[in-house]
Amino acid sequence: MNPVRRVHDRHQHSVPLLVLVSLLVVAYVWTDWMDRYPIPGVTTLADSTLDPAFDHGHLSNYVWIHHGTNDLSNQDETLILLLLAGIGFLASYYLPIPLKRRSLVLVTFAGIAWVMGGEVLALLLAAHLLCFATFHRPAPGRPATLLGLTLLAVCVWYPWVGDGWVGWTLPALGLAVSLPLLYVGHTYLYEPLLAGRGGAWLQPLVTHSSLISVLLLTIWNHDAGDSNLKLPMGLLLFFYQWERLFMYRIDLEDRKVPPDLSLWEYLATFFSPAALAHFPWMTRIPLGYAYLNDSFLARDKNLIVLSGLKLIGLAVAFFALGPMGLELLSSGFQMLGTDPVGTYDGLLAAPAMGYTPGVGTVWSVLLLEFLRFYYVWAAVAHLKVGLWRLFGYDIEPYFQKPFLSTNLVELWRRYSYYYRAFLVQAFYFPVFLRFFKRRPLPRIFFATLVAACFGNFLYHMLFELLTWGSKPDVLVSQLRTLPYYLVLGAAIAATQVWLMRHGRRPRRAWTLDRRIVLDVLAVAGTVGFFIWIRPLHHVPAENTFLDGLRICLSAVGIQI
Amino acid sequence: MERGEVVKQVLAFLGDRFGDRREGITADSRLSETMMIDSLATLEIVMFIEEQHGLTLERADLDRLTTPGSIADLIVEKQQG
Repeated sequence: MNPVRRVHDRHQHSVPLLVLVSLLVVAYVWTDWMDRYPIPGVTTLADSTLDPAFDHGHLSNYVWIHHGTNDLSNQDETLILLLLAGIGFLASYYLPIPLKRRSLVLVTFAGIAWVMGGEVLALLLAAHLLCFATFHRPAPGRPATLLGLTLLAVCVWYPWVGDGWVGWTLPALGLAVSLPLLYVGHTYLYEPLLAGRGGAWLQPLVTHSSLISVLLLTIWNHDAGDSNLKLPMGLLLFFYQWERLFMYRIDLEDRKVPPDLSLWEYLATFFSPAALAHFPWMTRIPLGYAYLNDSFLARDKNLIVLSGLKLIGLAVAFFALGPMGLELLSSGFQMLGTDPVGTYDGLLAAPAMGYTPGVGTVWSVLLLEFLRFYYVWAAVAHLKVGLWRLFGYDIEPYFQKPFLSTNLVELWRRYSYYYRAFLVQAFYFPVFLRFFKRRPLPRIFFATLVAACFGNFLYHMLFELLTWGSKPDVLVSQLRTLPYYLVLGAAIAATQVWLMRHGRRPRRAWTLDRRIVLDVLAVAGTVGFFIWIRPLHHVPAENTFLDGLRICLSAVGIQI
Repeated sequence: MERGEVVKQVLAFLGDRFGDRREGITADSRLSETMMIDSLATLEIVMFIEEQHGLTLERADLDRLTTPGSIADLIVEKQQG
């Protein structure tokens, strides 16, 4: 056992008490739970005291579990999440070290089964067991292999179950026949293939099965009409974890994962109660196996837990204050006399309606849209990282004061820490180590462009095809955003080259001297550029690329 | 090349490239803490190793670029094959 972890695993009973009370407070603030009792909830109190003019969702309970069963409301899901967080915390705090992460896996499984259904969990687990078998090749007779094959067979036959004993007979027979077949197939076909040359392409194939599947499905669904094929939920959730699986494979390639890793350790890389809320969002937090393993109980667990609580508090503050802040800002812009184009959708639709908004209107709408996206994104990211910390993982925050970024490269890191780190590991380093070895500037530029443009686009394409369906129109709509990724990628790559050519300046940004004014201007330019190009990212079906460009240009007073 | 000599070379490169941030840097200083090392800085160190020592690095090696000492160890190991 890691001796450092043992040193850091000291109980302080006041900490669990504080965590449980805090989770109760969060539940009170975040949901209408107390309205079921004689005590009014925060929302009810606010509704009765706030001026209705400002009551535009002063508290958002925008935590939900994608594709949860219809029996549960968002409120229920939030309460379930907090309950599981509490149980997961107590288990990971008090259980002996070898059992801590196992308990988190089990709590997550319970949560998935509760809010999404047992069949979803079965298929998700079967997919992971197949991955585990491919990456670590446990002996064919081992429990992990047998469980994986059994779950796979159950998932295949479960949809055929009908009423009465007749309805059960066919699936039961199918199961009875397919189980030995699967076992024989795995032992005498798959395993020898993995042991031989097949291993070199089977592992990447499994890692990127999501990309391959959605592209094949999109081709299949071309002209399929109402008979569009859809992914089963368990597989969908597995495919959403593409980045994490990619990172796991990178760690495996880099020999950072022990070949004889236990199934529990493997599962602990992918399953934590922190993953339940907004499951498809930021599944890369935290990255892969090595980062996760290194960060577990990396310092005194009580300090990690308390830092997690702070982040959860920050998440609630974002959820609570975000809508209110936007409302006030919007009112301010209106008082300044900006055009009533109003919403972001209205702005995007303006070119098609032959309307050209003024500079002030474009910037106010773009800023409001950016801040709306920012507060939701930041709230969810802080919640997720906060929960991981609650369970003993000393991991970095996703957002690292992005509004201090004085250039695009820094903004990329501060605004999306894990996403950028994923792109760096998966695209930037491999490209850098392979191309333009004798020409430093093209080398840096190309590697950055591939990561910030191609990698970024690929991830978003997969996300959209999984979320909105693997259909040609979704793919086409995503392809229309390619100019955005090209512009952003080229700008980040150019910044990277500029930084390299000019070297690091001795003065650190935000040093309190006369040049701090330049830092403020640099932030305005950096964040302003990021906001300015957003219309190229959201291209409504009726708009062309030129329409997006027209909005961008009208922001700087150029009308075309 | 001796390890001590390589360490000196690495420190000289870091000083030249990152200016005043090298103050107080020793062979055991963690670069992430003293110099805000980022992905760009990592790649600059890679290019330094490739150009100065004619070595080829792999992605797994990049994790070892944490201190001047560990960079020197990597170079010496690679040179010895």
